[in-house]
Amino acid sequence: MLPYMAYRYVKNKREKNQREMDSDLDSMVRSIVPDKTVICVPNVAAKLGEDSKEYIPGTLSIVEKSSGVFIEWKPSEDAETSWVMTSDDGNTEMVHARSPEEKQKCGARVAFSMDVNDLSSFRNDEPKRDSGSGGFPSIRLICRDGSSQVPLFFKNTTTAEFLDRLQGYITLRRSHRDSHLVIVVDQKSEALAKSVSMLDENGDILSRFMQNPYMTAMTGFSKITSFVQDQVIPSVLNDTDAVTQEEKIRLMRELRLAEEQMRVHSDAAGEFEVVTQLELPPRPEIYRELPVSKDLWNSFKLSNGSYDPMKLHHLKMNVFRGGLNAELRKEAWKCLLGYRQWHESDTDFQTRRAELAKQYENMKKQWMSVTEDQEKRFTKFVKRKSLVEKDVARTDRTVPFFQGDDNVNLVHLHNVLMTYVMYNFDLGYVQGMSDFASPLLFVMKDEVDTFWCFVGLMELTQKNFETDQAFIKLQMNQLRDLVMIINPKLANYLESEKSDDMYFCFRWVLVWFKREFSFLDTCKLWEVLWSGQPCPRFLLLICVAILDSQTNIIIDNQFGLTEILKHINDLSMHLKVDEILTAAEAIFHQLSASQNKLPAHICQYLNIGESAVSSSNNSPSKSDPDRVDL
Amino acid sequence: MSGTRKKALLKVIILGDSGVGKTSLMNQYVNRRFSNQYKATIGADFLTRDVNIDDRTVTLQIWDTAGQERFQSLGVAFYRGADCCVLAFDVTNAASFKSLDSWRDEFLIQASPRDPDHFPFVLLGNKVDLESQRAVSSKRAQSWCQTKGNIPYYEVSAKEALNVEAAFLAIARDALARESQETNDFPEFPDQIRLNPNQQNQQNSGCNC
Repeated sequence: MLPYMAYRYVKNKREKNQREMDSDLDSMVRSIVPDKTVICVPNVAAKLGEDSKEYIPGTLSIVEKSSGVFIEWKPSEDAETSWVMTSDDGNTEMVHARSPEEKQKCGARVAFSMDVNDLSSFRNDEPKRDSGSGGFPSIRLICRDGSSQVPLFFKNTTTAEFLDRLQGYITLRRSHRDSHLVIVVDQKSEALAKSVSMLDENGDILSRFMQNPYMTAMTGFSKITSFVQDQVIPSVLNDTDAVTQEEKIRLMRELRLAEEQMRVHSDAAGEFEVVTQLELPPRPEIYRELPVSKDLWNSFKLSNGSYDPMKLHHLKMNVFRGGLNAELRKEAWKCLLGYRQWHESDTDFQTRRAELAKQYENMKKQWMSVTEDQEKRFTKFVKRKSLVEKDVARTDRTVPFFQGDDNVNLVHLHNVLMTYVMYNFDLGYVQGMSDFASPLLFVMKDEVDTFWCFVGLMELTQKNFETDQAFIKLQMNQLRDLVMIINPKLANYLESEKSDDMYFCFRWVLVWFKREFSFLDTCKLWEVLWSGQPCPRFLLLICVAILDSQTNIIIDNQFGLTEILKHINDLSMHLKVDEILTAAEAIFHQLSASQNKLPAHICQYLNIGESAVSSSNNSPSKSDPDRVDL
Repeated sequence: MSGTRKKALLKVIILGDSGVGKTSLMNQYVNRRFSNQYKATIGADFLTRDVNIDDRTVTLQIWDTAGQERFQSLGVAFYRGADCCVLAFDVTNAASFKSLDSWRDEFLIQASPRDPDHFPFVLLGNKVDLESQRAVSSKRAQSWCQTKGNIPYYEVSAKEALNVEAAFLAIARDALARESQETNDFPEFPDQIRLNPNQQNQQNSGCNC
């Protein structure tokens, strides 16, 4: 009778308090049923960032728990060393780059445990000699919310066994568009897709679609027919593998919207036809050059220290193609940012610099002499000051140059930014400015030089910080136009996911990729941009290049508004600067070769085509980067 | 198995002046760690964490935003469909407390919920570990809350992990309770209603990259 009594007792209690009991049982089950590790792959290393050659060794496993099946990666506790890839064919060596505590901290930061149900897809790169992935196969897991885990590299083993085990829980399929992308197939939508394809065989969904009277009327317009043929039909038909019924219906709905917009566009500007029919030439293969050396740089100088005006364009192209040797930055950035004029001799610049140093000290005195009592009646000043203080304390603090509590460089950074507040009180200090100032200080190591370089840099970027944000919005619109031309499929998709305001690129555009690359890669990227070559707004072409490279991930994962933002945010520190620069340059050549087919406003802000003005004699700070009216 | 359970998604937006600790609060709650090396937030980002409330698993999607007003208007799309708005200030910084009204108004204008008087706000007073520098008393904060329709107030420290867990749990409970009353905060955006078990963007707390 006892078991029955126990049963009754449990039953009564359960009826009395079902919820409480359930959670009790849950936690009981959790404590009784042990976790079962299904597979455990040692020697799987996490790469912290694209700029780092360091890999943190760890273990990748699949664990069955009472609460679900989890993919887990943990740094190895015993391994005292990290390893670095010394060559692309997979030679490695162990390094003691970090203290054990530091390594553990890094490892713990990227360690993860994720429910397999939250996995949306992953990138699976096999070793290729000329690829940046090095000599090891790697995977990068992408979650349903758009976030990505740190890339994992399989040392001395393949991914096969892990993936086989994973397939015991979820259905995987390689994307037909991108062989490196493996998608987790949702069982439900897969079933739906099957029923759709059956429907297709019988009823032919597309022919019915074409029979739609509205559509038939529309096909009278040749532009629209070509738009349908070029853009929509391929995206509906060719990719049926990834297209569910819902998606098809959505596409049709979008098409109808697109038609309407197209009519508006073509009536208004006559440009839409060009946009949608544009056939771009293939992207040329581009190589990056070596950074400009001191000798090469000096070869552009005349005897008085000024730069040969005849060779200026050549010089800038060299900077554009390779960036600068680190030792050269201090000298070269002053010119690129318009602090030192190209035509200025050494002595002329020294004289002017002395004058500018005085001006700096004067402006610095102005804010330094504001007393506490004055501050009580000087709210606008106090607000700016407090923003500067807050941001200086949290700008690039992981970079050795700014590390530590009593770092004097923080004082210099603070002084430069506060003096800029006095220089341009109307604009004041806006968040993001400290991101622009810190690499300048790192290179110049002097307040006066940093300040005047910063003034030059702000000439290029200050519109980003204005209160109405109109310039940011303008750049977002231009970016959308460019994506429409370079990758209409992506543009269409973004529009359907209400992401065509391109807000997810806001951080890229506001601080010129400062948050996306390591400190040193940022220096390289910026000097390339400051060269002003090969066109104004090259920044936007970099945005296009990155977005273009993410097209399949975004579309195959069916990311929506929030997931796209998350995915883009998580690209930070995992982008390869040279790869992106070459892609952006290739896109420039594509556009340039098609210039007579491009809409006029795009030619205008990229300064290509007939309206192009030779930029060779202007430094970027002098050429007007904002020639497009707001 | 977790996949069989209903998972609700609750969207929580954190607003407040620059430097009050919005990013730190989010990271303390989701990743249970604190760093004084967070950079100023540019744009918007979110983290998610699953919590069990009664017999339900709820995914909290916590949105961190930039603290300077001029950047707010661009991120409006992400405010839409919020289930709760967390207003944060720094108890050692009186100015950050004075800004609360404008942050609250800003949210109501941008997100435009149907019934602004009853939209769930929560107030967090952060940095209570710096008691000696306190500039805003608990009483003052509470009386502000009373004037805004009794919104809940929590004194927290993201640095010391004080009360952060409790505050977000209360936020989740409150939002769930509203859901059961079938309150519809955003009737004009029917596709934004988040409490849909079939919704795709569900994620567990492990995704903390």
